[in-house]
Amino acid sequence: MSESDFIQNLREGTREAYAQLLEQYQQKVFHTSMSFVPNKEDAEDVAQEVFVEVYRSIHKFKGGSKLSTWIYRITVNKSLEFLRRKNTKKRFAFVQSIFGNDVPLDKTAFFTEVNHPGVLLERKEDHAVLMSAINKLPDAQRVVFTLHKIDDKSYKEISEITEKSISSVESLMFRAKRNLQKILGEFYKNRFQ
Amino acid sequence: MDRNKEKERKIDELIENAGTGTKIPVSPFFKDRVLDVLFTKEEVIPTANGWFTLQLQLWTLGLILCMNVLGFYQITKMNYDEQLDQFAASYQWVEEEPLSNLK
Repeated sequence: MSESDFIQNLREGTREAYAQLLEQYQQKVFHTSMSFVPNKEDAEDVAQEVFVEVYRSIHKFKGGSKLSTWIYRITVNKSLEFLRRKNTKKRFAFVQSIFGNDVPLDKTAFFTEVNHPGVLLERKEDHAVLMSAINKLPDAQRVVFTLHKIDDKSYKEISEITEKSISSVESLMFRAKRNLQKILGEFYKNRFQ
Repeated sequence: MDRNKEKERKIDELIENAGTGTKIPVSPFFKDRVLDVLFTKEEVIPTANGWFTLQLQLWTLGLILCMNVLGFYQITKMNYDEQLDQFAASYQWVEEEPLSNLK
């Protein structure tokens, strides 16, 4: 079946078409959302939101890019949305704690529990530190760095997903690394004195 | 100096090996869960009085309240004699002059 036929089936909204879509993309979408949100339960919630969004918006998909690229774009946006929501909740809890209300303050270094099952125990702390540093990057740099370094996407794939040229992606990657070096340098300053 | 180099090496290593290298499998029930979310139609619970909408209920409540206020006003406005006259008149006990005039 060609991609356009498959998209047509998705537009018709049949259960079989979506079962096939999930079969094909569930692992990929989950892996990408796990790169942004390093917690299995949260990443699954994000992945679910992605498929719901595909179901709702498939009629808007004009076919200007590959279906996979469009789905990855939704995944990146949904992951960033999730992280923003978490950050807002954390800020709210912080304000509440100042005013003495009984909302428990999340004291973790990251905005969500870093519990990537693929990270070895001895690397868990380093991973949490890195994720916290990535969270401080501007969105564009964060997306490029995460997709390339954590999700193993090529510059070409990233340029398609983010709708930026390859040279822009390279430049963003360079700036992201430089900023991470600064942020992590500050963090490890005391440890290596 | 050595400590600085060690720090830089640690940071570079962290950045270069950011990926976990392990693919975590999605939960086996994920597909079914998402399909259920997509294809389970929202159950519409039919109300016993579907036509009696919330707006209509509010209007009815307002109307009842108005009638109560009006009725209460009427009751307090009339005095006992007038009420007695009215009562007697309705049973045609008094034809020529009101019962209250007999006092």
